[in-house]
Parts: sequence; C-alpha cells; structure tokens
Amino acid sequence: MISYYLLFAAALFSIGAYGVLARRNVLIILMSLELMLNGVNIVFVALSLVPHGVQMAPGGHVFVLMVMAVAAAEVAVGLAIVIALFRTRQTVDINDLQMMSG
Amino acid sequence: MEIESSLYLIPLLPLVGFLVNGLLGNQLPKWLVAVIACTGPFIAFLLSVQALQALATHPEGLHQAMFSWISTGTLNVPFGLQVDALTAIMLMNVTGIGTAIHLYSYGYMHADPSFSRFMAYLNLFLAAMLMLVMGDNLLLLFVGWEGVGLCSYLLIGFWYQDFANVDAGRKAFIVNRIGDFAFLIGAFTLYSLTGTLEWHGMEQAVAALDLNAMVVSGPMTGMPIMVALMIAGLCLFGGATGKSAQIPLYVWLPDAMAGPTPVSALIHAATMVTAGIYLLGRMDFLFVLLPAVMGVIALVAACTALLSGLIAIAQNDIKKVLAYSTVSQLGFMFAGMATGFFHTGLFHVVTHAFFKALLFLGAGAVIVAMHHEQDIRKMGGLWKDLKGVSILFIIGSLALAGVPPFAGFYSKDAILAAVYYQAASPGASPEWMVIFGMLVFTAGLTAFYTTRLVVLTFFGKPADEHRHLHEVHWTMMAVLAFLAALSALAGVLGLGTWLDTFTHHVWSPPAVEVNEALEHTAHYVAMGSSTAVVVLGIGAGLFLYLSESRREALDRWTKGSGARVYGMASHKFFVDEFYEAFIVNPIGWLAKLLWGVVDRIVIDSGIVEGSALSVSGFSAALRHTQVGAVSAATTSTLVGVIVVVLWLVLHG
Repeated sequence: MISYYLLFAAALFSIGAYGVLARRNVLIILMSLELMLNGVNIVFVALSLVPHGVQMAPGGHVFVLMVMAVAAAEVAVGLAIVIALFRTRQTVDINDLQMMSG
Repeated sequence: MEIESSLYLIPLLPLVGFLVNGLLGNQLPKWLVAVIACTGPFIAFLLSVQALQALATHPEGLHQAMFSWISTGTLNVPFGLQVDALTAIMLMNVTGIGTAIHLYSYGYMHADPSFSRFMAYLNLFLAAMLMLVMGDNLLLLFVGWEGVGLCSYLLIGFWYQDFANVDAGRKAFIVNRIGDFAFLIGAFTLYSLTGTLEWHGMEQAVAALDLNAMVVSGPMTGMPIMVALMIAGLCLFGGATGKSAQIPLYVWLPDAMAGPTPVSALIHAATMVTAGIYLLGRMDFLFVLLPAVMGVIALVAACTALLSGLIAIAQNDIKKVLAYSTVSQLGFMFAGMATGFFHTGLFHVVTHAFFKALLFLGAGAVIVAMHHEQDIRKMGGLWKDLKGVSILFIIGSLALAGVPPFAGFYSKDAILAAVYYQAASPGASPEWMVIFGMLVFTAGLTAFYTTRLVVLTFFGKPADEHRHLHEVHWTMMAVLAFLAALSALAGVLGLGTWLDTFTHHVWSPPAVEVNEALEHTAHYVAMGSSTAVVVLGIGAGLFLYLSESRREALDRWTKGSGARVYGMASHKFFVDEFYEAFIVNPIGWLAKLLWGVVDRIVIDSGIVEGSALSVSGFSAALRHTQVGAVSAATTSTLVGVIVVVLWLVLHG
C-alpha cells in the first residue's frame, strides 16, 4: 500500500530531476525544482501514515509545511534573479550563461 | 680584599678588555687600546699572585660559587671558580706570559690597521683560557676549551685577505672539533658513571666505584666499570690530542704559524696547547686507575715527539721549526704526565712556556728586522747586526735544547727520569723502555735542530750583504729580556723542587710505592743520557752547519743521493697528503655526492619543487572539468548524491 505512494513520489522526483538537468529555460528549471520538492513532500506525508509504535508519527506533516514555506521563499528569490538576468542578458537560456568556465 | 670572593675578576677583566676594544677600539687612539688591552691581563696576573699566596694558608684550595648554571632534572651544573695548586701554576703561566705577550704585541702589531681587533681577540683568548683552568667542573672547562679553539681560529686567520691564512685557521678549528667530539664522548661517559661534573664530586664518585663490578644503568649497562672508565680516559685523551697537538691531530699546529707571531707565542707555545696537559692533570684521579691508558698516552706522546723532531730538522721556515719543536715538547709533557709523576709534566709546561714564548717572540723580532722574511736560508750572519736579539734567542735555544743549567734541562730531565723509573720498575711493561729510548733520541734531535736553527739564522755569511734591518721596538726587547731571565734561571733556582712540593697534595698518589733507590738511579741515568745526547746533538749541528764547505756538501747530499730520506722529512712524512687522500678527499666526495644527488635531485627537485609541481599539474588537469555549464554542475551534483546514497544504503 505504502509503496504506491513512494513509487509515485519517486516518479515525480525523477521527472523533476530530468527537467532540471535537461531543460535550458531557467523558468522551466525552477518549475521542475518544484516538482522535485513536491515528490519529497509526498514521501514525508506518506510515511507519516506508517504506525510508529502505537501512535502515528505526525512529524512528517511539519516538515512538509516547512518545505512549502522555504520553497515559496526560494521561488521568490529565484524569480527575482531570473528577472534581473533577463534584464541584463536578454535571455533565460542557461546554455548562454556559461561565464564561469575554468 | 679577600681574594677568594674576587676570583671572578681574573677571567672577567680580560673579557671586559675584549668588549671595550672589540666594540669601541676603532674609535680609540692606539695607545689607549694598548693600555686597555694590557691592563686587564696585568691586574689578572696580580690577582693570580694573590691567589697563589693565599694557597699557603688554604692548602685545600680556593673556591667561589657564583650561581647555578644549568639545572634540569638530575643534571645540575653550578657556575663556580676554583684555584688549587695546579690551577694556580697554570694561572701564573697564562696571565704572566700572557701579559708579556700583550705588551710585545703593541710593539709588533701597532702599525697594523686592525690593531684594536687583534688586541681584542688576544684578550678574549686569555679570558677563555682562564675559564678553562679556573672552572670548577668539566662543562665549564669545556666552555674555555671551545673559547680558545674559537680564538685560535680568529687569530690564525687574522690576516684574512690572504686565503692561505684563512685555510690554516679553518684547519685548526676543524681538527680541534674532531678532538672536541672525543672530549664530549668522554665527558658523557664519566657523567653517566659518576652523575656529576664537578671535580670534587667526580673524584669522590670515581674513588667509590667498584672497579670489578658492572655498570647497572644507562646505555652501558652490563659493561665492566673498568672498561667504561678506559673509554672515558681514552676519549678525554683524544680531546687532549686535538688541543695539545699530538698524533693523530697535531697537523693543525704547524699550519697555525700563518697567524701573527705573537699569536704563535701565546696560543701555540705558552697557553692553548697546554690545555690538554692541564686536562690530564685535572683528571689525574681517573688516569691513575688506568695504567693501560697511561701506557697508550706515553706511546702516542713518544711517537709524536720523535716524528715532529725528525720533521723539524728539515724545515726552513723559522716559525715552522719552532712549531714542530712545540709539538715535540708537548710529546715530552704528555709522556711525563703518563708516568703518573704529574708534576714533571707540569714543570715542563712552565719552563716550556718561558723558553718557547721567548723563542717565538725572538723569532718575531728577527722577522720584523728582516722585513717579514721567515726563511732561515735567507738570513745568516744576523749576529753582527742584532746582538741583543741574538743573545736572548740563543738563551732560549739553549733552554730548548736542554743544556744545563738552563730551565729546559731540568724539566726534560725530570720527565726522562720519571719515564726511566717507570721502565725500570719491577713488572713494568717493556714498552716503557722503548718510550724512554725514543724520548732520549728526541732530546738529541732537539739539540741538533735547535743548533741548526741558531747557526743558520745568526752565524755564517749573510745571504744579502746590503740588507737594511728594521729597528726592533723597545717593548719587544723588554719582554724578551724578561723571558730570557726566566728561561735561564728558573731551573737553577729550584722551580722543579718547589713545584713538586707545592702541588704534591693535589695529585692522586701513583699506584706503585716509591722506591727511593730506583728514583736515584733513574735520576742519574736520565741526566747522563740526556746530557750525552745533547752534547752529541749540538756537536753534530755545529759540525755540519758552521763550516761553509760542509754545509754545501750537505746541500748537495740533500739534492742528490739523500734526496729521498731528506724529502720524507722536509715533506713532513706526507702526513698531510695522507690525510688529504684518505680523509679529506673522501669526505669531499661524499659531500659532493650528498649535494648533487640528495640535495639537488631528491630534496630540491623531488620534494620541494616536486610537491609544488604536482599540485599545479593536478589542478591544471582538474580545471578542464570546470566548464561553467549549469547542467554539467547539476548533473555531477546528482551523480554525487546518488553515489553517496547508494553507498549509505549498501554499507550503512
């Protein structure tokens, strides 16, 4: 029963990871990141259903709320950076942003 | 003033002179430099006389504890000064002859641009020598021991613009360091046996040792105590061979003649070279327990005396002849010490200081008069022009040759008598008779080469009829006269007997009982044989060198059929060449190998530059992975996470 949730979460995480690695648009990459975070959130929620001793373990819910708050803050900062980037470079394609090569 | 509480002034005053002249000497007029330099030693001499007198009421010796010098764990070394009869005699020698030589140096060196530096070094040398004889423990003696080594290096290489002088200074220093190494091993051995470095404590501890037992602790555990003591004795004697120029470390002293002549007189005749003799006298309580070591010392000393006597015959530099005679006479002193009649060696130290200082300073006067010419073949006939110097030099020569009644006769005679006494004692090892024979023969050689030196220098035809001799400064003449008086009269006035009674209670008694009848026989045998060989030596010297035609015949012989024999002696038996080939060069090659392979290749190229190069090479390769693409960075991050998680799952 619990493995369905976990398989779903893993699929969501992998799709997000693929998006982060394969796409070139910074906005898409940020959206893929959200997918990865939500994949993790599902794991938290799913696992909090598993009995831990006699009681349920509600700690996972707390983490999910925490992750959502941090993700919101991160998106705010990330979008601000994307806008600043676009204003200076007129592009959001990360392949055009390779200035740190060694 | 109570002398016991002002003993520290004796070494301190010359040290102050060194500091003042060394730091400010360039700014001061030369007469003031000379006054400062001579005052310190002179007051030290007066204090030494007081100390000597005080010994009459304090026969156990004077001692001034100054402070605790080293105090770590079980090692406690005090800083204290002591004067007993042995030290008092050495003090008279060092400060008395030292002051005279300082005075002479003013006359000899006052025209030198580095005059103040010279006087400062002389003062430092004297201070070090005084520390050596006054220190109340072995470590303090070693301070002075190293100090005189340093000063001899500074003074031999005094005219450092000439590379040969610098080389001679270095040779003296390095050869002395080899001896110092042996000295330290001996000192460590003694310390591990006795647990103290102070003379009195050491003497009591050595006396309390059970010679048949084994060492129970330390690195020598399980070794018989007798063997450990022999190691200590031999190592200390090894140190003495360095300072006092015995086989195998005597080679530095003849080269040390490169220094100014007063230095030769001060260091290489009167004071520094006697440090080894003093050490043997100071450690008498150890050596009387070790007859085998004493035999070795006597044999080495006799060989040294004979070898350097033979070399001296064939030298043509006036100072080289004197230098080899010093080595030879030091051999006599060591032989005297080795008999266990320590006062005979000490007696020869004192008389030798008189006449050898006289001879060196006389040679200095001759050298000055001849405008710094040192080759005796180019002198000749100086008698007519330098009557005063000639007479004084001849007095010194007679004393060196051992002609009665000059001082050298008495002291050499005492040593020969002591050696004969040893040889003729029942149950004595037969080597002592050989040693006696070698020493008597050497006494004859001494008379011969001294005669040769005097005849070639002062008599015969002048090598150059038109020479203009340089005037000899009055301070030099005054000092020569003073030393000549001592050389001529010291023996007659009974210095030897006085020394015997004065220092009698200092020495550990010899193991054998004194046989008075044998003592008398020894005395007559020594006196007879030494007088006979001296007469023979002087006669042969006069016969060969006084007549012009015979001297020319001798010259032809040395160039013709006798060239091989003569060449051996004139080339110093190739000892320097032997050392060069078998010790100096292999060490040089080893050093080159270590420098070329270990230093240049392994350390420089390998470790130092290699580590820097490997870091920069590695980072150059690593830099290519840094492409700046975000996708590459994220991919590698993800791969890294997957690897870590897999590792944790599989191994955690």
